[in-house]
Amino acid sequence: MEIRNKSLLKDFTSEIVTTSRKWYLLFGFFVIIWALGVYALVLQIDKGHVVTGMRDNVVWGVYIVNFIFFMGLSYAGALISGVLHLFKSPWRAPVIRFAELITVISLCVGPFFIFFCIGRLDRLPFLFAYPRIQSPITWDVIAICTDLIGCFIFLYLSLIEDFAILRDTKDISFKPWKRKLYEVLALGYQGTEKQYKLLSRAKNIMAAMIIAIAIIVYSVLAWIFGVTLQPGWHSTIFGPYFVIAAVFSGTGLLIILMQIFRKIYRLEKYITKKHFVNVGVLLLIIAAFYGYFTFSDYLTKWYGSVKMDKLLIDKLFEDYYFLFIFANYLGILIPIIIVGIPKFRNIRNIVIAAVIALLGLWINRYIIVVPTLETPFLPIQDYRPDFIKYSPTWVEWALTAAGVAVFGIFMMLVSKIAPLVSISEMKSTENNKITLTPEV
Amino acid sequence: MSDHDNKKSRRKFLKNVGAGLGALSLSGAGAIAGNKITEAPGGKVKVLTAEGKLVEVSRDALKDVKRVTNEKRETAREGLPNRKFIMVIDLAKCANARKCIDACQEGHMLPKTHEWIQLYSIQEAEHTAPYWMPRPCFHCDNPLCVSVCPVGATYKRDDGIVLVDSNRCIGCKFCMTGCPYSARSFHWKDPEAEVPEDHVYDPELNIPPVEGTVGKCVFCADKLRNNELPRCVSACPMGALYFGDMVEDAITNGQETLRFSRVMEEKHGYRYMEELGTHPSVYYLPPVDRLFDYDSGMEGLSEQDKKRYKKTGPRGKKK
Amino acid sequence: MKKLFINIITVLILFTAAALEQGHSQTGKEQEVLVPYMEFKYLKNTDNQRILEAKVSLPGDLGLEPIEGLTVKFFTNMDNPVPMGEAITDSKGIAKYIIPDDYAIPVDEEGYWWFYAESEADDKYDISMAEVTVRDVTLDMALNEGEEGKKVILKAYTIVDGEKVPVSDEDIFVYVPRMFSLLPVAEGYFIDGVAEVEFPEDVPGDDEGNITVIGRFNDHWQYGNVEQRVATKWGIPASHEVAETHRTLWTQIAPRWMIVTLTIMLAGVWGHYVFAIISMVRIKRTTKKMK
Repeated sequence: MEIRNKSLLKDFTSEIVTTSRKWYLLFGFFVIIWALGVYALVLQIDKGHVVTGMRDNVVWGVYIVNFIFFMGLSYAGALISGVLHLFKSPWRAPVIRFAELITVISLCVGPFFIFFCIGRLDRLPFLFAYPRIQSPITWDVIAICTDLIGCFIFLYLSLIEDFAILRDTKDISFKPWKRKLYEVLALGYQGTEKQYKLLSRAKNIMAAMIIAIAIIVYSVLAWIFGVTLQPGWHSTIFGPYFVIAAVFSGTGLLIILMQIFRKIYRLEKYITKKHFVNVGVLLLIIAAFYGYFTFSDYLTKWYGSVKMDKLLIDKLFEDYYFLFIFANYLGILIPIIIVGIPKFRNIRNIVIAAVIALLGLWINRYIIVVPTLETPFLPIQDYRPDFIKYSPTWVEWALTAAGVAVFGIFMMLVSKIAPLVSISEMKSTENNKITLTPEV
Repeated sequence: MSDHDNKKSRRKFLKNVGAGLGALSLSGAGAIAGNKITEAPGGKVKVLTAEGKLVEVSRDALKDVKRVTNEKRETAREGLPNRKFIMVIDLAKCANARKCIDACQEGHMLPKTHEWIQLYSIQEAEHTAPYWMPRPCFHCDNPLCVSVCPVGATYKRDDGIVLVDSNRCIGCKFCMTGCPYSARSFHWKDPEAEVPEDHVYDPELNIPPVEGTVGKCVFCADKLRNNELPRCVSACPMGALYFGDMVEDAITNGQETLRFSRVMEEKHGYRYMEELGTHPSVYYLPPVDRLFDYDSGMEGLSEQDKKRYKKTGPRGKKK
Repeated sequence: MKKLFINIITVLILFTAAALEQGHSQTGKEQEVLVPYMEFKYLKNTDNQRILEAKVSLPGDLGLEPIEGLTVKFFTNMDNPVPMGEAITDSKGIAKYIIPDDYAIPVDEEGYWWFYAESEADDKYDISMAEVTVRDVTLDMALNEGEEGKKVILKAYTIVDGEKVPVSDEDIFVYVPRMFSLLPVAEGYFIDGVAEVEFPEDVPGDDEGNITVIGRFNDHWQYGNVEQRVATKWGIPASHEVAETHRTLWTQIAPRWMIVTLTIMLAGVWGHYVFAIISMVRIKRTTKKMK
């Protein structure tokens, strides 16, 4: 397979061929944070979970928030890439690979946070040795495994064409082992009509599958909370609410990553304002839905004012006032305003909106998990302040940072092997004569 | 190496050696009674024997190897045949003496921070009177904690008792969020219980407590096998706790034996938060015609325990 | 009546005299001796065996803790105590002595028996002692099921100066044994040596309705514990059925719909995965063919 547009190829593969000093610096920085996380984890295993801020009552803290958050990013990536692929959006080409990578990498990072929550890591195999199908955790284990494999297949399918292009490219000098790797990974794809048909059919099916799985799997995660009787969790709306929230965060991350890699790889020619606005509009639409779900959930709780719901909402507006306002007002309204009013619509503002959305959603998860656990049916009557109010310790923050660092590490490693913008998609867009208008 | 370090390293070592290691016999010292082991300088350990004698043995002879055999773990999964255990708590008699808590902690080698039975000060509404409410595990007939357990570490037996197998529990704490009564507690750090070397793990007693696992009231299932009352029931100086078998329609607090159905009828027994649909096995008798006034429950409390009840208003709402 | 001053018949606590304590400290023992507490009971069971039961325990912060392995000696004859025998306390702190049938228990001038128990002291525990005074009573029980319902007919008499004297103006309870204790189900009253007690219709027995009915003077001020037991089918059949194939959320086995749903979903998803993988294999194959 040859590609006519040589500059296209060169632009997208530069990072595979050369490694800058900045790359090493950033990579080293991530590794240090990761190492700090490892130290925190060793400490936690050695001393016990007492080194975290979690106690009876608030038995799940920042870890589970991160778990939901990363899994949400993953499912959002899957949904976005699946939808973009199936509907053949004309502007998808430079964006779709990011979404796919978000999916797979978050999916690799997320489950570690549930491991940090588990008291006896040595007994993890029991999940497979003595499974109980009634437990939502078992559903989640099955779902995550299924999802992980599905997402890998989908990512790989979409990479086959690119591997074939890289294998056949003569004018870029890859290291021999890399060329060998591309040869194996390309599965001998030559771009014949039959092969193309086989590949695109498999991709279509997997895209559809991934959308369905993402919805189910994230609902399963929501049900871990929904099936309990806890006020604030026991809600029928939680499945769809979580799915929407996940897409919201995923879209935000997509915008942020687009901007980061656009700068690093000098892809301004390919990822343009148009793409930011398009993804931004997606963010706006989802923000509206997400805000609607949030409002609906809290309104019914507040209006009905069942005792426990009222206690919870009082707590949210007293102890968690600023977090609540940030997550559920600013985190939703600011992205809507920025993207909704054309005057504000530029790349910088859209990225700011995305950052606020992402941060707001993390906090939203925090105030779903923690205040509920601080409001049990029987009042907490304890003399120990840490049993009454949860506050995360440095161990938890270190592991959180390590999770983000590992996300970065994976992203950087992948960029050394596979192109972060799908060359084949770009090529087909070019062939379809859809002009890319570079932003000046 | 200080004694403390020594003890710690021994425990670490034993953890690694694990279950397969046979117990070393402690010649001449007999069985070690409970956790009454004190360390003496010079590699010697003072051990209180079952006969109540204090003997000094070399530390090497003392290995608190915890044997985990499956035999008792399997029998513990089958309940006592044709029984359905229930507890009835007469709120009119509870004076917050907290003896139930002490007896439970002693019997199960729990650290003082773990209360399998807790004493709540409850005031339902602003103008209703406060009362003391002991809360053991309710051993629900529709136990959400059991439903959500991914590995079957916690289970409900045919006789109604819900147990936790500390050697199966992975410590995910889902059961703790599942339980609406906060009846479960987690071992956030090593409970450091010194267990007799010939002790065989039995979920019915749940000794030793294991770090990183969840524990809760077991209705003293080990005692029930010998037709003995749970520790908290025997320890209550007010006779506020009654225990019995629903099939036999009888409950007793160790002093008087009553027909369960009659008591329910005459004193209008109820279950706490029936609306949650968990079907508890613990029934309450309303705090009417009380033997003690509420304030007497505050007397004689330690400063620490007084702190617990400072902020209490209607179901925990701040005053 | 002389016996009225012994108003607690079965339970008597006697704490050790201060002199005894002094005696111990003089022997050079630094360790404080513990003062046990004794409960002493007389029981005449359904086989007309007479049993003396002493329970020795230590009053602690958490109630009474039974003491095992103490020797308890039993005596009779108040004016000139005669040793009867001895027993060692078991794990529940109970020492039991069965009075031989042919033992002639000395009777005082008012027709009472006197028993006395004393636990021996060792280097940890002090002595403890208790006494009990009872009048021998003969209790008979018959069960009668007629049109008027189930009746327990109890007859009791004592022997005074060689003559049968029917028991009168005394309460008696009818019990059924339960897991931890005896449950009183009905109360009767003796008139001219006979008490007719109605047995309730709703007492649960075993799964076939078998039940043991006990007529018993329980801790009676004059007679101590005297009982008669009869096994009958007067209980209502009661059992706690747990079907073995029970499937719910909380059992080990999941409800069928759950397994079916999960299987269908997984089969659907993994089927598509297999399809995608087959596609990849086919891509690989076409290349080989081309070569």
